[in-house]
Order: sequence, then structure tokens, then C-alpha cells
Amino acid sequence: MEILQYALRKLVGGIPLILGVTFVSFLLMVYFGPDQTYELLGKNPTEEQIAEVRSELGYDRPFMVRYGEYLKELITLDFGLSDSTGEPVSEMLGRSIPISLALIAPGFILGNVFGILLALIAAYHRSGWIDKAIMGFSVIGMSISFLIVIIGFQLLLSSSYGLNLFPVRGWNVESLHDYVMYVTVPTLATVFVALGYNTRFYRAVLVEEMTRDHVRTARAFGIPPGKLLYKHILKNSAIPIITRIMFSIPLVVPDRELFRHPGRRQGDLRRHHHRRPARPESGGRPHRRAVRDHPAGDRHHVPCRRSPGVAEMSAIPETSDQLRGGVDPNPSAHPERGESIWSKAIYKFRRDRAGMIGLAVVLGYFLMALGVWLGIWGMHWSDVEGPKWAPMSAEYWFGTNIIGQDIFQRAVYSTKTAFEIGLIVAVLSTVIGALLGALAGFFNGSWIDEIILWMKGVLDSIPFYLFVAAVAFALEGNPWSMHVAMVSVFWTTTGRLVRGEVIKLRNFEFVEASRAIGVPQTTIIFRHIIPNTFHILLVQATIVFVAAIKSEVILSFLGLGVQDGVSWGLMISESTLEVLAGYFNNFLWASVFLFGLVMAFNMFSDALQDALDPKKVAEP
Amino acid sequence: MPKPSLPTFVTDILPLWLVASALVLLAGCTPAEGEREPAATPTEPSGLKVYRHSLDGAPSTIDPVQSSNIYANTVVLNAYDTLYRFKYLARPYEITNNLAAAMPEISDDGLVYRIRIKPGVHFIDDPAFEDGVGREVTAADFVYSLKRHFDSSQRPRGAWLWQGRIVGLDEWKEAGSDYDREVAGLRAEDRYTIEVRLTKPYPQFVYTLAQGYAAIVPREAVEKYGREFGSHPVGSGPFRVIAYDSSRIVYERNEKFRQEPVDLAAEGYDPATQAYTGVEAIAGRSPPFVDRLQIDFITENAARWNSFTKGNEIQYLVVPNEQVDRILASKDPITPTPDIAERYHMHHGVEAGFVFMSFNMDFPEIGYNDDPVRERRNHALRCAMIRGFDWYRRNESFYFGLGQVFPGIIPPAVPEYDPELSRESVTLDIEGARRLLADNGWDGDNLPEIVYGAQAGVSQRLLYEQFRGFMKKIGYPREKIVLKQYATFGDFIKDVSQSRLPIVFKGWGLDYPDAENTLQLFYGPNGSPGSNDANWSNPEYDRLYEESAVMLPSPERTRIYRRMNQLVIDDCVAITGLSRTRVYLWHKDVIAMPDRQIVGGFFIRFVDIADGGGEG
Repeated sequence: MEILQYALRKLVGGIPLILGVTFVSFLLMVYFGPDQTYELLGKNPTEEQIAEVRSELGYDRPFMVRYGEYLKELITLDFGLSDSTGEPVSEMLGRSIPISLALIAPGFILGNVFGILLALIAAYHRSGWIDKAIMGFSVIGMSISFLIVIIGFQLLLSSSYGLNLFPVRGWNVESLHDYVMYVTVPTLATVFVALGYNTRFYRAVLVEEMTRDHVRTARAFGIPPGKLLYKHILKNSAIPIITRIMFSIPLVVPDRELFRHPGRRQGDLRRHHHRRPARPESGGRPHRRAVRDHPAGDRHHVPCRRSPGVAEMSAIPETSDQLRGGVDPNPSAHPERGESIWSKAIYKFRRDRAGMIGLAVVLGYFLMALGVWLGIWGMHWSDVEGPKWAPMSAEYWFGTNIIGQDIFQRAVYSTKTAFEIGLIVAVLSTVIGALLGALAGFFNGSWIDEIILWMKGVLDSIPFYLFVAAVAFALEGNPWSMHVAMVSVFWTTTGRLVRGEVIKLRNFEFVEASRAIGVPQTTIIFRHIIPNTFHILLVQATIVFVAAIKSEVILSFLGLGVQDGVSWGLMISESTLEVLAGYFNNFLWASVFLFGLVMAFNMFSDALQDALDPKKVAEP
Repeated sequence: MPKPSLPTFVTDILPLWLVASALVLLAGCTPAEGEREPAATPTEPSGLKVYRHSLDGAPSTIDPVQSSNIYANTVVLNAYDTLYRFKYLARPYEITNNLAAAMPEISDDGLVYRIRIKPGVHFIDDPAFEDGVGREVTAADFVYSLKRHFDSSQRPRGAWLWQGRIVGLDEWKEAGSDYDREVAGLRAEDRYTIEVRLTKPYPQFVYTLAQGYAAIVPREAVEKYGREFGSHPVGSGPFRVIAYDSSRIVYERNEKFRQEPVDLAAEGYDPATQAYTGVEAIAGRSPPFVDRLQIDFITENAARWNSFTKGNEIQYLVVPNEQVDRILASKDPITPTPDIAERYHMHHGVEAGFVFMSFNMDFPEIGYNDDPVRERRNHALRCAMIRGFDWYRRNESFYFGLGQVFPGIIPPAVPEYDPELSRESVTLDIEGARRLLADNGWDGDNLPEIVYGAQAGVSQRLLYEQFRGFMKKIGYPREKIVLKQYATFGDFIKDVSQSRLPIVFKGWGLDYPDAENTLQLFYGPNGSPGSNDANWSNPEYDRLYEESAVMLPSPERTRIYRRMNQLVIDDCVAITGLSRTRVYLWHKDVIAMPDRQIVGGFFIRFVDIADGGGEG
């Protein structure tokens, strides 16, 4: 009976979230979504015919009626007929979903299996050269855009420029051999990209486990490495590992679109997408930290550097219970004074060679961007003066593109674009995340907290690229649509972390004291609490910066990104026309520039995170 | 009992995961409900002749009333019958009878068409028919099929072809599209005779009957399947569809298709230019010649090219632009490299259509203006932009220098094209453009901002960037030519149709080989939401259009067409134009003479596979 009551309570509690998710998806993807009227009209339509088609499509009905019908379709799972083909949408889904799964599953599984294996090896040899090599490769893997990996693998394995071994497209699977042929390239690409993220995550989980007393004791008793890793470490880490795998499952499916396999009509994507049923709050996009229940009952935050992006196909959510009861039972692990964190962090950061190199490279890029801002270089990025596809020369350092634009000028100018996007998105999402997180944390348990958690839940429940695409549709032609979409999504992780920190801070003596002497609440929040979360904000901002740059590449490729100017993403997307003709300069240089900045930022951000990790800083 | 160690984990647990993934993949392999039969594969059962065609886009439906693009038209014409079709090999294109027994009998005033159809032609078997057996195609089926375009519940897209042209048809629609009510101008005189009465002469009428829009469907099937008819074709064409999704359509030979031995001479065969294709092998035999036809819809050029060169996938493609340099030894004349010539057959031809950019005269900044002085300056501005547009580079960049640049709006593919026309309007003259701007008081500060609309995508963006680059050379500031991207083509067309864009760049594919089809693009009454994107309205042009629209082809009509063309050029209403040259490649074992546009879907029934090719 109690269980039933609990289940009922959970179900009823989930209704606002489901309404929120459905409302946002309806608003963005249906109401402000693409207008099909003109695609269904013939040549020279009359006003009357336009009105007829609009009426057929139901565009002339009131907002609430349409929303009601939308909800009804979701509840009854009867999605009606496709607007273009007239086929029942549920049948089309029934045809496409199994193919999606068959295509994605091997890469997903192998990415996790190999991730765990490499993590075990790295964790076992912690701080040794094997560990460093594995982690180095992980950072490199994380710094290469998924898009580049896909184009690269297709060129290498499926084109006449490369080995030409596998089919390029289609899905005519009638035997295991056929299946292997179709699935190999997507699997390799997925594993390649996921491996870096997975290895890092699992290594962090395993290393945490390895510091436990029981492991030390087992080692002292001379238990062989294999047994130690499997029985004492891997098994005890099963909960975060399984949680991560389970919650990544909903995030892998959209990646299939990038491999262009069939089963779904392009014209119907909208219908599929906007009718995607709501997932529970916890099914959001990847979070930075894993929360793990230790057998002893205390909770430890396992640091895990992650950034949102296509490549990240995993998520470790916090349950709402953990969010609400996030008071650390062991507050002494955290510093109580900002100064000690910062001075120790700077000291520690300066000793981190990789971090310093990363910082230097980032500064180099920043100077390049600054030069563009100041009009010193990169000013001729739009000129079409050069010949088509000129090779690299003294005049055109990186050659020219199909319309004779100077690739060097464009690559340099794109640095400015990258910093603009990275900085705007990082600053705004950090500020919004800090404010909302602080409010939610400070008023923990009140309606303010509930609303902010609800907003976060709604935004986290819609897959990132779908959300951005929907915002781009809704704000069609607006140069800021991409920024708006990214900020709307990226603030939530910062918000969650800040909220957890503030819940701790508000019980500290200095806050109690401020309250006792009558300091206004706003002053407490802005003067005393938020400054104490700066270490989190700084690290989050660097992570969001990288995420924004990498997302831009994919979004620009999909035509949803940069509207004016040029960016590495646009250059890579242009290059897809050129690599076929055997001209690789655009692809090569945009990839190199992008990789350099992302890699450097990852190194910088890693070092920063290590330096600012309260537990590590607190160590003598 | 020994505890598992790390190697055990790898050997015991990993296989479990792999088994789990194999289970998932088995689910993926099972043909889902709705997919009637598995698709053709390179490994067909032996003895079957298979032809794998490719298209660079996918149709969203195979309902004839919605076959509004080249992709839908191609797939529709292989599943359905039309009264007329284009001859397989004749160039320039010529029309001939298909389901119709002969060319129509036309009354002297050009208003009454009497068309007899061939008796004994049957629809394919389908549960929609009594006992599931396809019944005979009759004149009433044609009448029904055309009426569907005037019934908004069918979501028709082809009504523009016959609107205001057939006596009583528009009124029939207004009265509620009741199929049991007769239309005076569209009747089945008897089981095999159709009579059409036109409101005014319409010389292109027969051409419209060779389009997918005019394909003949059985009423039973439309009523049985409702909206799903779009993915469940029931026709009497050379093939019947066995599987269809967004990536490909698979047909099998329609065993019931009428036996009509090929007369090569009647199809316009020219041994001098076409013998290399081996089409003589089909003389005297009845199409279709392949047992199975698969059309792969492959949007990505890279994927299409790779699939073609693999050898065991698609057997035909229109060469993507970026491959042209690699496959041609010379562009003038177009000659393949020895390697390509050895492996494939090649053919090339100028498209029946063109690309151009219209200035929207509704915008007072560049078009019509209440102030006559400003309107004159706007005219100069448009003319300067035309002079500053570098067609040579446009051709080099995007059409590999193979496109045919021509002045005006009558493209080389139609008989009325004038090769002698002055090329001034397509000749780059940066100095002249700058002078024209300066003489009319234009400078970087007062030039109006122009919004360039385009669907989001790499090629569209590059076209825009190049245009902006060209304009910069004549002194148009970069920041004044602004890109507005649209997520879908529909959204772009919506803004175009609502006259919200000052310039519109687009391509136009001819529906039939008659310049009327391009001249209507500038006919005043066709302004937004019609196809006159320029919203240009010139009384003389409109009068000439109306005069020529009812004329049969003649030197006089050609003279009028050319006069109209000159008016468009003189008024500087469009930067125009270029017809793309298509290069087709197909495998050596395929016996065919492909065409993408006008003959389009009709050519596939004549495709044969040489012995030893395409068989498993």
C-alpha cells in the first residue's frame, strides 16, 4: 500500500514536469515550428488555396486547441498520419526505431566496455606513464569534433580515397555479414568519440574506489591485480557505472541521424521530434559530477570533467532526493575561507605543466581573436578575390576555397567567432546558473526552489540538439538563436552545482551570523554566498566555453549555427563539398584550429579543476 | 571456487554484452510492419535482372496529385500510366502517346480534345479491387484522377496546370468537389473516350498530360487507403512498388503491363550519337526489361558517388559537381578520362531549366517607387548589380564551367532560344557598374540594405557569400547584403510567396519544353503568391503573354516570346541566367540512354541489363 501511495505521489508530482516539457516542445517545435503550407502547395497558388492548405494542416485553429490535440496524441500514442506521406506516424516509428537501435547499440556498448577496460588499466597504474598516456589520448579524443571523426572515418573506410571497404549508406540487412558491413563505420566513429569521455569518467570512479581502506588492505594481503580490480574495485563501482550507462541510453539515439541511415522520412522528422514523449527529470543531458552511494551511506562527489555535446552520450543524474538533501555530512572537507582556496589553487595551478601550456595556447588564440576585433588581421575573410581552390602558397598560406576565399583569413577570423560564442555563452550561462542556483539553494524547499528545479527539469528533459534546432526554427533568421538555445540549456548544470553548494553554505556560521545581525537576504546572497561559489563558477565557465565551441561546429554544420561571419564549423561544413573533389585545405585547417583551442582549453580546464577541487586544495 | 579475475571479466561478461547487442540487432533486421517485402540487394536471387537507379533527393509521397518535384515525378511515372509521354531517344524532346491510343483529336478552334485510350489495360492486383484483381483502366479513371486536383481534401499540388482552363472544373470545386457530379468540360464519353473542353486554347495542354500530376489512379484505391494512398500506389504503369521508404523505392516488373514492342525509329533513335549505348538491343521487344527496379534516394553527393563507384550498388548517377574535374579529360568538348570511358558510359546535356535571381519590384528600395526619380535610380542600381555579377566565376565555382550562361529567361533547352541575342546582360563589367552607380547618385552610404534569403545549407551559403563578394567589387558594402537563413525550403518559399524578400535566387525546372513555362515567371498576374517572384508588372509584356499563350508554335509566336525576353532584360528585373549541364554516368552493363528531367521517369522502362550483368 505504501509503495502504491509512493508511486502515486511520484506520478502526480511528475505531472507539472510533463506539462512543462510538452508545452515547451509544442511551442518550439509545433507552434513556432516549420510551416509546411508552402511545401504542400503547387506553383502559382491562389490565396484561397493557401487558406485551404493551412486549414487542412490545422494552422488556423486556436493555440490551446492545438496544444490539447497535441497532448491527446501523446497520451493515446496515436500520432495520426504523417503530413507529407500520409502514413501513420506510429508505423514509421516502428520501422525506424529498431534500425536506430541496431545501428547505435554496438558503438554504445563497445564504447562503454573499452572505456571501463582502459579506465581499469589507467586507474591501476595511476600517475604512471600508462595512466598518463591513456588520459592524454582521452583528452585528444574529447577534443576532436564528432563531425570531423565522422567525415574522417567515412573518407578513410568508405570512399575511393581510402580503403573503400564498407557501404556508404542504406540498410539492406539480411545476414550477419550485411549487418557487420553497415554497422562498422558508425560503430568505430562512436567508439572513437565516446572512448575519451568514458575512460575519464570511469577512471575517476575507479580511482576514488582505489583510495578506500578495503582496497589498501586487500593490496597489503597481496591479492593479484586482476582479482583486486574486478572484485574489490570494479564491483564496488558498479552503481555509478551502471547509472551512467542507463541514463546515457536515451541520448544515443539521435546520433544516428548523422549517419543518414534510412527508416525515417526526412520530411517527417518534425512530427517525430515534436511528439517525443517526456522523459523523467533525471534523463537529462550529461552532468559533470557523479553522485554515488557508498555502502557506508555517505555521498561523495566524484569529479568528472564533461561537457555537453553530441559526443557525450552519457549522463549521471542526481536524483531529486539527492538534490534536496545535498548537505554534505562531511563539511570539513571543504575550505571555509575563499582566500585559502584561491592562493592554494594558484600555487597548485602554476605547478601543473599541462595546465600552463594549455593556458598559454588559449592566450595565444585569444590574442589572435583580439587582432581580429581590433581590425589588425583576418579582415579579408569574405573577399572572393582568389582563384578557386588555390593550393597553399606565399600568397594564400592555407590555400583558397571553392569561391576563392582565403582559408587562412577565414581560419583566423573564426577564432574571433569562437571566442565570441564561447565567452557569451559561458558568461551568460554561468551568471544565470549562479543566480538561479543561489536562489534555489538559499530558498531550498520553498516554491522558488521548486520552480527553478522545475525549469531545470523541463530543459534537461529535451535532447540538446533537438532543443537547439527547435529554438533555431522558432527564432528563424535571428543571429542570436544559437546563443539563446545554448544558454537556455547550459545554465542548468551550473545552477545545480551552485544550488548544492549554497545549501551547504547557508548553514555555515557566517551566514547564520549575517542573518542574526539583520543583513538583508539579497545582501547575504550576493555579498556572502555567491562569492563563495566562484571556484565552481570558474571551472563551469571553462567547461561551458569548450562545450559552446564544439556545439557551434555541429550546429553550423546543420545550418543552425553562425548566421553572419565565418566559423570553423562553417568551414568544415563547406569542406564537405571539397573533400570529394580532393581538396582538403578547408577541412584540415579548420579542424587543426578547432582542435588546438579545444585541446588547450581542456588542458587548462582540467588543471583549473584540479587546482580548485576543494578536497585537493584542502590537502596539505 | 576461484573468483573471476580481470581476464574472466573480458571473456565472460563482454560476450554477454555482445549477445545483448546481437539481440537488439536482430530486432533491427526483422522487416517492420508496413514494409511489405525486403529490399533488393546486390545479391539477388539468380536470374533476375536488376537495375539500381539513383536520385539526388527523395519524394515525400508517391501520390500523383502531390508529385510536385522531379523525384516524385520519376517514381510516379514508373508505377502509374499517363495518357502521353516523351519519346525515349528524341532530342529535342518530342511527345508521343502512352496510354492514349493516339495523339488527341483537336477541334479547329483548339478548344475540344478527344482522346481515346487503349483498351485492355489493367491496374495491378490490389485488395482495393473486388476479389483483389486489378480491373481495366477506363476513361472515367482519367476524369476522376484530374478532378482530384480540384478537391482540397486530396492536398493536390497540380491544379495550377488546369485552373481556369477546363470548362466547369473550377465551378465543380466551388460546389464542393462531388465526384458523382459531372463536369461539362471533362467527361468520359464512353468507356475508352475522354472529351475535354477548354475555356480558351491551351497549346501546352497535351504536355500537361505527360506529367505525374496527370497519372491515372483507381478511385477504389484512393477511397480505401485515404491519406495512406501516398505510400501505397495502385497503378497500371510498367512496374509495381513492393517497398518504399525515405531511402529507396523498390519495384517489380508489372507482369500485366501491355505488350508494345519498341520501335526505335519512332522513339527518335539517332545511331550516330546513341549507338554506343547499345539501345539497339531493345528493338522489337516489349518493356519493361528488368525484373526489379530499385531507386536509391541519396542526397549526399559523396555517398552517391561512392555508391556508384563501388560497382555493386547504384548503377547510374548524375555526376556531382565536385567530381566533374576528376572524370573529364576535357570540358570543351566534354570528354571523359580514359579510365572513366573504359568503366562507364557517359552522356551529357543541358538541363531543361535555369538558375536566376529576381529583384522584387515590390520593394521601394530597389523596385517600384512613388518617386519617379528614385524609381529611375533603382533601375540603374539593378542594372549595375547585373553588370557586377560574374557569371563566369559563378559557373566555374558551382557548375564546373560546364553551365551555359545565356541572356534573359528563354533557356537553351527550348526551341525558342535565341543564340544570337546580345550577351551584354551576362557580361561582367565592374567599371561600368561602378560608373552607373556613381552617375545615379549611389554610394556606399546610401545604397539600400538587401536581405538575401536562403535555405540553411552549405551550397546556399556559399552562393550568398559569392554574391556578396561580387557586389563588394562594385562598391556595395559587405554589411549591407544580409543573409537570412531558413530552416526549411517551405519557410523560404513562404517568405518568397508573401513578397518578403527583395531578391530571390532560385532554379526553375521546366514542366514542358515550351518557353511559355519560363515566360509565365514574369507575367504580372502571377505575382506573389504566384511564381512571379519579381512582382514585375509590365503592360506590354502581359499583353504579349496573353496573346501568345493561346498560339500554337509558329515563327510569330517565337518572335513574341523573344520580344518579351528583351523586355525583361531591358527593365533589369533579374540577374539571369545559367542552364546547368548534367553529366550522366552509368555502368557498362546497363543498356540505357538516361535523362533526368523531361523524359525523366519514362526512360526507366526502356532500361535493360546486358547478359551477365545485374544477375546474381
